[in-house]
Amino acid sequence: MKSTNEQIEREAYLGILPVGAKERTYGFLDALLVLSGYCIATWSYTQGSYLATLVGFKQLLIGAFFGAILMLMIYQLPVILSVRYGIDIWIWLRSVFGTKGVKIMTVIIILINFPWYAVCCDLFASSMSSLAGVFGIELPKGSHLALALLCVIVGTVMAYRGIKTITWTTRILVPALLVVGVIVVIIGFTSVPTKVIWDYIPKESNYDNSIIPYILSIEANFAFVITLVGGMAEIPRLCKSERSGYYAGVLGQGLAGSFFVVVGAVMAIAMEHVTGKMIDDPTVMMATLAIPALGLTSLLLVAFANIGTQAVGSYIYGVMLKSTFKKADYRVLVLALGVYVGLLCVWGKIINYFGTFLTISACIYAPLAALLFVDFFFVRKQKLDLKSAYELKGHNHYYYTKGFNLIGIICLVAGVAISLLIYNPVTGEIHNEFFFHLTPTGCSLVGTGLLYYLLCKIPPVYRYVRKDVSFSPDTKPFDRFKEPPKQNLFLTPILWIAFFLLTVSAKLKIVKGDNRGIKPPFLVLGTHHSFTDFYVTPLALFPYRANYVSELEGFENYGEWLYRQLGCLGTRKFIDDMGLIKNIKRVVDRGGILVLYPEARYANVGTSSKLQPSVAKLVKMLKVPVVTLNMKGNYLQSPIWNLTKRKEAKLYTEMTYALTKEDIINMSVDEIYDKLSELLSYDEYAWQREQKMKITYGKRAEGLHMPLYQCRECGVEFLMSSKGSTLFCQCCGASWEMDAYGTLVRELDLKDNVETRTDETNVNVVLPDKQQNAMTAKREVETIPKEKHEIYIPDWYEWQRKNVMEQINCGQYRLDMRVRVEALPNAKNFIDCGEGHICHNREGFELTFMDYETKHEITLRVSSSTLFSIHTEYDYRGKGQCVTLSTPDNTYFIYPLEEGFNATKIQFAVEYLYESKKNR
Amino acid sequence: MRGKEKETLQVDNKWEEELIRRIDQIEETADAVQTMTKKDYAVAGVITLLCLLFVVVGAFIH
Repeated sequence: MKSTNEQIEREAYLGILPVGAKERTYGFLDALLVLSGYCIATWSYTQGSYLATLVGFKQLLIGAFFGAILMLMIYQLPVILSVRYGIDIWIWLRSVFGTKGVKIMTVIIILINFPWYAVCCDLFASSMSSLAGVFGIELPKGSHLALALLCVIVGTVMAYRGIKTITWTTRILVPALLVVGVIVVIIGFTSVPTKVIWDYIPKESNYDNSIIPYILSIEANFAFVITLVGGMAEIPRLCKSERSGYYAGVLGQGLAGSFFVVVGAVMAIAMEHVTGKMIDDPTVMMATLAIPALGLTSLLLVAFANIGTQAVGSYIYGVMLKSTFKKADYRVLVLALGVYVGLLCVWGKIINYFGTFLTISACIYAPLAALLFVDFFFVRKQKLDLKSAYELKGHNHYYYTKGFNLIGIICLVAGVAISLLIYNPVTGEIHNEFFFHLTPTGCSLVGTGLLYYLLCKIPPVYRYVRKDVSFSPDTKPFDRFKEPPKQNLFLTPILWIAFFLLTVSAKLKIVKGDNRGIKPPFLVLGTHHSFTDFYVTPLALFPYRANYVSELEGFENYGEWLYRQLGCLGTRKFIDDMGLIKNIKRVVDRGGILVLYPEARYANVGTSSKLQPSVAKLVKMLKVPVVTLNMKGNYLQSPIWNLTKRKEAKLYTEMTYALTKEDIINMSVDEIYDKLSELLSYDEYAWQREQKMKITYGKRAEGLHMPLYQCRECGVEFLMSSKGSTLFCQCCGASWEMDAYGTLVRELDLKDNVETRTDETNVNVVLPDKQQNAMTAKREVETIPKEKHEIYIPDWYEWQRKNVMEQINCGQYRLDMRVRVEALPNAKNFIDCGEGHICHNREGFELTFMDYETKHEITLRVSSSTLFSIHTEYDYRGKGQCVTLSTPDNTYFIYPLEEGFNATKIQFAVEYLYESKKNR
Repeated sequence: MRGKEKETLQVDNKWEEELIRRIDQIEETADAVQTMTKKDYAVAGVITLLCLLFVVVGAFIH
């Protein structure tokens, strides 16, 4: 007993361990023979006789061979992965369904596949009953069920005993079946005229349209071959070449398996000609058409074949269950399978519902095969993270949502629905004649595959499904030189409507100054506050379409195709990009409008950033009119440090015809620069006060500690925090209330300089003797006179900048820490480069990390003199603060792994160091 | 730890080591198995189309 379980343990483990290249034992012929044996069972006769009730012999031949091979050629292709990696498809399917989802699929497959073995047991019982009848023995009532259960019991016992018994069984089983098949063919074609079989057409047809039974026969052939998808990779994974594994699977079933289907049909047709009844029992056939002794011979062969098939099936699926549920006892699993088949035999109607059973099982198999095909060839591009597939510790790319890949499961359900929406296999009702012509299985296969493929084209879905992208990332750099298309004519009106609806609640007002009838081409330079800018700009330019310069990570987030259709030109921030310049020129040369946000960053605290001098040079080069868009309220509505939309914010945009063509020709670069800087300057909080626009959102200050990282009172960095409408220092306890106009107010008691908190917050309260206690402060009604200190957020921001400049001048500034690096080479995926190290000083940046292409550590050096500013994020996609460094073909997102990192401080340092280098 | 549990853990650890060894080998020598060439795919495509053609033609045979 112990040794059987150990053997099964070993088989289960070995059965799922990848087979190394040197361990492969099968060539094409070996695999073909084994797979032929696996595909042949007495249920082939049932299939053959079922097909003979639907179509004539010629159509039956076409369907059984060409129909079967057609389906096999498609769905067997993923067998290539089994050969390449030496794994079963169930390992790959963990990427499709998730590590827990695949376990459920295993059980479902067994539930729908095991009725095949009930068919075997029923055939065994029928054979024995018929044989007894031939010899004049009348079996008592209920013997059919008893005989079927006998087949179940004997087969289960054989599987229970383990692999040695099974090996011995298959050595007898396959030759036995082959002999039976040959005998049946000889008898079939000799006992009735060949013409009878060749010209056979079913006598009765319940269908008005003759195409319907033909389609049903093709459907039956598709379903028949596709039910072996679950075990299709067991043998190919042992093959020496992909081609041999693939064609062994196709021909093993497409030729050998189909041959026996035709044998079954021949038998049934011959029996119908002689006896008037369609009988698919070879025992009865041999006794009727040949001699009773031959029927007895068939008993030994067919009976054993059925028992053997039952045993092999219980063994294969027992091992499959064992590898899925490692802690389960193999013998218990085999017994459970035996009980299941037994119950089906007790039900006793599996043969009556054979066609229904085929189509229902194909409902599951077809989507499964489609998902496997699309996932292998198109989604994962033939690369699998094996460590995650085997659920090794620390590798969980296929865990998805609590072990389930929701996308794979949704597509599977959709595939089942497609099949059922076309045809009801239980009632035989055709719901959709057009798609029925493609067969329900064919439609389900194609529909599921297409759905999965298209869903994976949506960037968020792709990111969800391809959590293993870092294992086999797309490293091809973004094509910076690709000509940008015009904004899609059909999408543009939809965008206008959508953006109007998004901005209507904020009462967006666009004031177009004296635009002097300006028509394209022209250049639009806009202030850049938040994502709202992208809603406002197209509305300001209505009814014209435009192209927009956009950072690459937007392409990755929303998809390259969509972004290009929206008219976006991809680039990376703060690099020299000749591709971008060329494309900008292309846009204006073809008479278009080009929109650029020259600050190249969102407003950190609602104030304008210094423009790069190259903007003026660009204007000079293009020689087209320039329009400026000075937007207001966009930052106030959704500041980068807290993206929640403030409903009270109102939006206002001033569109100015800034420079005519003549102005550009006559003005110098510096003059152009000064004019643009003036037109594009803004201070959101000043405007808010001017407009008396109250914003009372309760959490209006949450996140403000990210741009305001240094305490105004104690000067300590990186210990600022915020909650609700309060900004406070975790070191000294000083706190500021952000009022409804964005001003920070600190109340101090004139007596004893004790701060009175005006909000319920856990803080360190500073006592007169500087002793710090943690306590909950409550609203107090005090008669002590108070002093209000007000500070504007931009002033605080600039005060920090000055401090950084002083640090640099005193040689005290240095950034030196461990970081995590992610590369973005294109619009397809981020690539995790793991842990790295960053150093920033007067000379510039040194970023050391593991290069994903060379697999060696490299150091990226960016000189201060070349870096005008730096891209900063406060919480990039939930991963925290980061900065980016770019080359023309890559952008590196850098996240801190230590304390003492603030993106704004680094930005101040970069900008000052650039100016310092420039002024030397 | 009881004897049987210890034995199971030892088997599991041994299996995991073997698994990691095999995976590393496969990832290093991914092209050790002869892969399907473009010609193979083209031939497969032609066979598929031929089968499709026969299936369609079969609808008109009686």
